[in-house]
Amino acid sequence: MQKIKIIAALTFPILVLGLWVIFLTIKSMTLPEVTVRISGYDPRDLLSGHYIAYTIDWAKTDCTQFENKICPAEEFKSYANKAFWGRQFRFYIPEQYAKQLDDMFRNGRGNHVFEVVYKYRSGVKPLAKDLLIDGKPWQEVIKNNKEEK
Amino acid sequence: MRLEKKLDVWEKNKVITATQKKKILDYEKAHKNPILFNALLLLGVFLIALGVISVVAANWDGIPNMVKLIADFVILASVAYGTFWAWKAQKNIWFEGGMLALFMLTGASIGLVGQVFQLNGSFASAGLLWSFMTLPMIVITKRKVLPFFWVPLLFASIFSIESVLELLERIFDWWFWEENPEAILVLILAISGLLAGFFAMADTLTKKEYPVFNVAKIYAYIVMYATVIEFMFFAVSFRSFHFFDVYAVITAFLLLMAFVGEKLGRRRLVNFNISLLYIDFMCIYFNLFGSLIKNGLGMIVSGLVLIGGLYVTRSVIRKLKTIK
Repeated sequence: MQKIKIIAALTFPILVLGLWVIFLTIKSMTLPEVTVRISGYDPRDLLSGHYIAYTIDWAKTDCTQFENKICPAEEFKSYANKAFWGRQFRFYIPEQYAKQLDDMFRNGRGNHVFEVVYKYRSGVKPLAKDLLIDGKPWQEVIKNNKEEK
Repeated sequence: MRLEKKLDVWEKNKVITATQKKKILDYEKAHKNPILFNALLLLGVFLIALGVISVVAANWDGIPNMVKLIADFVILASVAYGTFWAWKAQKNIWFEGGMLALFMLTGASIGLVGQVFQLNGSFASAGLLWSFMTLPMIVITKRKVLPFFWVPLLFASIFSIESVLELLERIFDWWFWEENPEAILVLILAISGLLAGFFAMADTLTKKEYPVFNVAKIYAYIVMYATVIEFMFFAVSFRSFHFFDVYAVITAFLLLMAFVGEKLGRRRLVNFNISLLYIDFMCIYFNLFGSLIKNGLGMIVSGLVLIGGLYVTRSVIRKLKTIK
């Protein structure tokens, strides 16, 4: 009995994690993609830790991607985190690119279009899939910038 | 009192013989726990696990996400298996160290999944999930190390929930509390006192089988005394008609806890509260009176009243006992 308790206690976190990963993988593979424009972040908190904090600019987002061609602003807002300056979303960035992206946002904000690709369906919590800069994946843009320098 | 001193006293009073005393001491020496070794071992495990969390947080782009996840599960499974093996081999410190490592790695894994799938979760949701996943380990652990981390994680997660924070903001309307600091002091002491009592009772009812209750009780005590000490040193900033109220609450609380310590036979608790009372009176007089003469006279009078009061109380109690 004690042996079963020990095995159950030690494997429980692994089982829960495994089920969670399977659920997220299925969600990521089956939900349709939408692209939203991001803006309105506070530059002071832009890369707190190693993520980008942003809000969604629904005015500049193509709403024809969504059901009934209506942008689900209220639904997305309910999934956002409460921050000092309002509701925010996060996109995690590897440590080695954090400074470059920070520089691009701070100094090149007016020159670039930033978007996030979500896996989304109405009633299901959206999953952020990719960050686009001028329509291209951020890794491609950062690496090209590095090569040009 | 240390064991050797106690045994000397018992031998002197013929409770035990010299042979029995020697047998007890020899047994204790043979079964002594290497406290420092165990503590440093657990610290080493903690540091390694913390390092893993830091490496995960760096979100290294060079490794594909699927590889990161598979490696994570392999590490978790290996640690879980190693911990189980330590339990089977009755290597208790390695068993507890393994569980501590598994606890920390569970947190790192939640962070990794959040990064890989770009989850927009809050600390509250991550913390509550972490607490839930590691709850079975809290049930089986026999040491306080794991609950030492788990209890504040759980409480920090609960108090990070948005709706809880909003409720607290509504309850603790700042204007009211600024005008009535003694009210917030009483509230914090009452809540943490109740929690300490609840966890102490749970610890007793479960025959001390679950260290988590003892650890939660200790944290409740820390909150109580940290609050008392903070108010003691900052009460001077409150307006004068609240200054007295705050010190009256602190003094009453310390006297009550000293009395509780006396009743429970806990000498350290009594001594600790009396020591704080010394500091309490010093704070009162240095803030209350402007001159040294007034301070001195005030303290002399208070000391005489205290000693007189103690003698009166003791003789009354003795008379009541005689009547019974």
